[in-house]
Amino acid sequence: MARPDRRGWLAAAPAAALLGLGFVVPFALLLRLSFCDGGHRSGFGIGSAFYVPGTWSLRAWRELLADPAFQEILRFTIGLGFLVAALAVGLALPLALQIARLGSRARALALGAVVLPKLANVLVVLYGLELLLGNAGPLQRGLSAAGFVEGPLDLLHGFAATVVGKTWLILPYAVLILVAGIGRIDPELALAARGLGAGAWRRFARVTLPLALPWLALAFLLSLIFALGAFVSPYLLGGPEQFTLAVDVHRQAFENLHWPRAAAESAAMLATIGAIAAAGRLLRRAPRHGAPS
Amino acid sequence: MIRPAGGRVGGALATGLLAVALALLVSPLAYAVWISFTPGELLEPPAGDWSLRWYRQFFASRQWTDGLGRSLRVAAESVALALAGGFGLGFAVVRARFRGVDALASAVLLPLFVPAVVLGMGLLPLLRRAGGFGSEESIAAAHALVSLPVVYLMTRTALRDADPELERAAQGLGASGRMILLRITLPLLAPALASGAAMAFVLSLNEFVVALFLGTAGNETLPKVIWPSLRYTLSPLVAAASGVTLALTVAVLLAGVAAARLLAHARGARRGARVSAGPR
Repeated sequence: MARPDRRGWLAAAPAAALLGLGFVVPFALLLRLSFCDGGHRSGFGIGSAFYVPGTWSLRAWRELLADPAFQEILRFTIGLGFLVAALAVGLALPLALQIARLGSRARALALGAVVLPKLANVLVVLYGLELLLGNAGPLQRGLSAAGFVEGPLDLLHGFAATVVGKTWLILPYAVLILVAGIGRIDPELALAARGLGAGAWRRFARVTLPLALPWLALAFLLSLIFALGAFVSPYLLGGPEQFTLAVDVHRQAFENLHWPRAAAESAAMLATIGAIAAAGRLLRRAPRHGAPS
Repeated sequence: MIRPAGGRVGGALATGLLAVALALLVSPLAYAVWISFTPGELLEPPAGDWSLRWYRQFFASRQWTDGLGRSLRVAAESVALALAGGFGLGFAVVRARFRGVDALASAVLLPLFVPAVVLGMGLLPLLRRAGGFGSEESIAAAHALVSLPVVYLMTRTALRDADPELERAAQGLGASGRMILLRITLPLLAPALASGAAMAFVLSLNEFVVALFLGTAGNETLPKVIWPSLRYTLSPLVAAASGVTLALTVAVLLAGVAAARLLAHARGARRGARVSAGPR
């Protein structure tokens, strides 16, 4: 029994080292950093002027929790997350239902189209969206050529563009999860319902949807968790009013050079995500009623 | 099979709508690439003749080609790290279990759920203190952290599907552990490792947020070079850069699929009658 043990340790060592050095140690340090003094912000870029190593202080946390701007940003980030997750799951459900009924070749092609925006560069996707939605873009030109609108709509750099951009980036996750989930539903059940005389909508509402519900919940939870980290969409497509927690972490670290504050906000972000994940687990464990009968 | 709309007309309509939705989904990418072929200075799709002008400018600029080269190197390094870590962990979980291996395997998935901004902010002070800030390797390691779970999950699935009898038979025939690993286990896993490597490469190539946090003037990857141009200048040069990254992304993914197929086929041929296109 000792031999396979040692082999296992050896095989798992690179992964453990990467996780330890790249994840565990940095987060311990990050937490510690949030309890350091902010330092004097004069020595731009030299050494560690962004914080004073070795000091203990609650200042960053106290400032953070008392700052109404932070509370506003936190509220906005969570609200945006819920909105984007709801939109993503709502749009993903019809897509997934259609993709799940395709043959294997067509399904692979469809899934390729779904994941391409996710695997491609975020910047390229958002750049393309900017070009499409911009005042000189085809959407607005088409609308004004058809006489629907006059003059530029200024769709960019606002709440709507932020939501559209973030939903675009989150949608692939939701579709993949739902396709996997719907693929597991026994097709015999729908056939049986049909045999019993249920129409298409009734079959969907009474058979497919209830069975897909746990997967919808999972897709929503994961979309929400990923949406809470929104950084590039609000930065590029939003204005200052759309700044999220992630954008603020970057601003605190690189513009205000206040690392303890950036560290505290990162920790707050992780705590928010952890709380939501835990709540999601509890809800999933709760006894489900209304099972298909 | 199960669908909300019934009937042949309804089905055709639904398929048509699906095609439109999928086209819409990739339209930002397609539109950016279309614009990259414009002969003019404006962000407009080419009206008549297409031009490679902006691609020539991309490849003539040191800043852009340096960024591209660095992105490719960082991606290759992160693939090596992710393969070593992911294969090893998958092997340990399926074939050489030890106490705590499952906890380690769950912990390895965590970086998938942590926002990239937090990953970057976590590594920033560590690298600043320990040295290594501004190196390509630091970015490669951070990228490997995110692609490691992907490679691990693919390895684990492939190993679970692989027939353990083959390894036992080789052992019975007197093969050493090393020989079994090299001649049996690794060839069995080759398709999964090829797909995993392609995924890890693409994830690193297109990763932006961590590269933004850990990047300096000396280790800018391509997305980090794109970033300021995206915010402050309006030139089709960014569209050309988009075209280059997208072409690379699609090429690497297709190469991964092709390599996985080829390797699975070779495996099937070696194994003779056994079905090569079995459950993935």
